[in-house]
Amino acid sequence: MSLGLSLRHGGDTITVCVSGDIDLRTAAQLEDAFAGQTGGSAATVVVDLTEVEFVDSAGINALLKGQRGAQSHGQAFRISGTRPLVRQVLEMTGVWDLLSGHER
Amino acid sequence: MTDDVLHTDAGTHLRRLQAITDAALSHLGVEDLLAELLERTCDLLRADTAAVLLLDSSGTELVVTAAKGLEEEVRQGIRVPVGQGFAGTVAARAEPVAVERLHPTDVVSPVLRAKGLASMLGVPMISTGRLVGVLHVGTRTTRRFGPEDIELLRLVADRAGLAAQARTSRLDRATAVALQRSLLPDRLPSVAGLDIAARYVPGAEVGVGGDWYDLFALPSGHVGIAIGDVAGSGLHAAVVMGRIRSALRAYALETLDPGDVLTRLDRKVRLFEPDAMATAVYAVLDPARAVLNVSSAGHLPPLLVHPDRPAAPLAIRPDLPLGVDPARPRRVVTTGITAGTGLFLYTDGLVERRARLLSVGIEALLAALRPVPSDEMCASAMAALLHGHTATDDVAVLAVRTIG
Repeated sequence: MSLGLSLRHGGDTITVCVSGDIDLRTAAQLEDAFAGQTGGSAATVVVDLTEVEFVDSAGINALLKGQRGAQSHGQAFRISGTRPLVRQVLEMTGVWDLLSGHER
Repeated sequence: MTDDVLHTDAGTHLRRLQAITDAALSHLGVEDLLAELLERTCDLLRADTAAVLLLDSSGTELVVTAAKGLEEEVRQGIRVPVGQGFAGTVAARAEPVAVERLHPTDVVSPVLRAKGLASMLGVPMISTGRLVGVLHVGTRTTRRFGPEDIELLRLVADRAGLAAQARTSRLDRATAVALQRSLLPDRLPSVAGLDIAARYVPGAEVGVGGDWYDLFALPSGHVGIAIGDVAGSGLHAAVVMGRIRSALRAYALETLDPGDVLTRLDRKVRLFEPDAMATAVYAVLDPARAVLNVSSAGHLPPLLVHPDRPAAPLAIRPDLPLGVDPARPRRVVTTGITAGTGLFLYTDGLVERRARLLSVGIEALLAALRPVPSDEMCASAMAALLHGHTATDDVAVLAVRTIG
C-alpha cells in the first residue's frame, strides 16, 4: 500500500494532495514528500487531506515533522480538507489546533 | 579447441553457481552460512580475503560481521563510514567497484591496510530494494576482476544479504519482545487500597510496539499511574518507550504535579529523541485515594468506571503529545474519587479501527466497563473490543480501582 501524492502550485502556496491511509507503512513516504518541499520558494505549504480516510500515530508524527521542517525554514504549514474521522483523531491527540492553523 | 575452452568455462561456471546456491547451506545458522560462503568465495575467485560488512541501524556505518583472511576485523569491530574507504564507496554508489591497484588511502580499516592487498572487488548487498551491506574480496597480487567475477560475487551477496537480513529482523523482534516483557511485568506491584490489573498484546501487523503502562507508589504515599504510546513499532519504538517510562518515574519523584512531570518529560523527549512522538496520560492519586490529578499529552481520554452510574470519559482536553513543543503549558484536571471507582487507561490499538470514528470505539468500550474487579474489567474490555478482530496495532490497558 502506498500513498497517492500530487502537488498543486498557486501563488506563493504549494499544496501537497494526499490520498490513502497515512499509517505506519506510509508515514515515511509522506515525510519524504514534505522534505522535498521544505525550504522551497513557497511561503506556505498546505497539505490537502480530502482523500485521506485514516491517520494513525505514525501518520500524525509525519505531519508534525513536516510542520517543524517547514517552520524551521520560515514557511507556514497547515492541513486542510480534513474528514470528520481524521479530524477527530487529530483533536483527541491534541494536535488539531496546531496542524490546522486554528491556534487558540 | 575453441569448443573445449567454452565447454570448460561453462563447466566452471556451473560448478561456481552450485557452490554458492548449494541447498545444504540453508541448514546452517547465519554465522556458519556466512563463514562457509566466504570460504567458498575465496576458493572460487582465488582471493586471499573476503568480508561481509552490514549497515548499522543508523544507516551511516558499515560493521564487519564476517571475514575470511581478515578475522581480526571482526574481533576489533571495525566500522567503516558510508562514503569513505573501499567498502564505504561501494555502499555509497550501491554498485560493484573493482580496484586493480589499491592505494593505502583507498582503505579505512587498519587491518585491511596491514594486509597489503593489491586488488579489491566489492559489491553491494541489497535486500527488498534496500542496501543492507557490502561484500568484498581482495588479493595480495595484482588482479583484474572481470564481469564473471562480479556476477559471481553478486550472487554470493544476494545469498548473504537475505540471510543477514533475516537474522537482523529476528534479533530485533526477539530483543523488542524481551525489552517489552521486562518493562511491562505481568504482575504489577501491590499497593494498599488499590485493585490493579493490566494487559499487553503485541499487534499482528506491527509486532511489539511502543505501548506501555506503569504504576508505582511514591514516598509521599501518592500513587503514580501512567500509560503511553510511542509512535512506530519494533525495537526502536520499544527502546524509546523504555527511556520515556524510566524518565517519567524519575520526574515523578521530583514533583507531584502531573502537568509538571509531563512538561519535564516533554523537554527530555524533544531534546534526546528528536524524531519521536509519544502520547501519555499521567495521573497522581493522593494518599487518601480520594483525589486524582490527571494530565494528558495527546492521549485518549481516561475512563472512570463508577460504582453507581455508567462509565464515562474523564472531562479532560488533551495537550500536545510529547516531543512537539515543550514550551506550551500543560493542563491538569482534578477529580474526586469515591470508593469503588475504577480508572481505566488504554492505548489506541484497543479502540481505533479504519473507517470508524474513534468516539464510536470509545462508546463501545464504555458500554463494556462495569464496576467489577480490575482483572475482570480488563478481560471484558479486551473481549468486547478485540473479539473476532486481530489487533493490527499493539494494545495496552491498565485498570485501577479504589477498594472501598
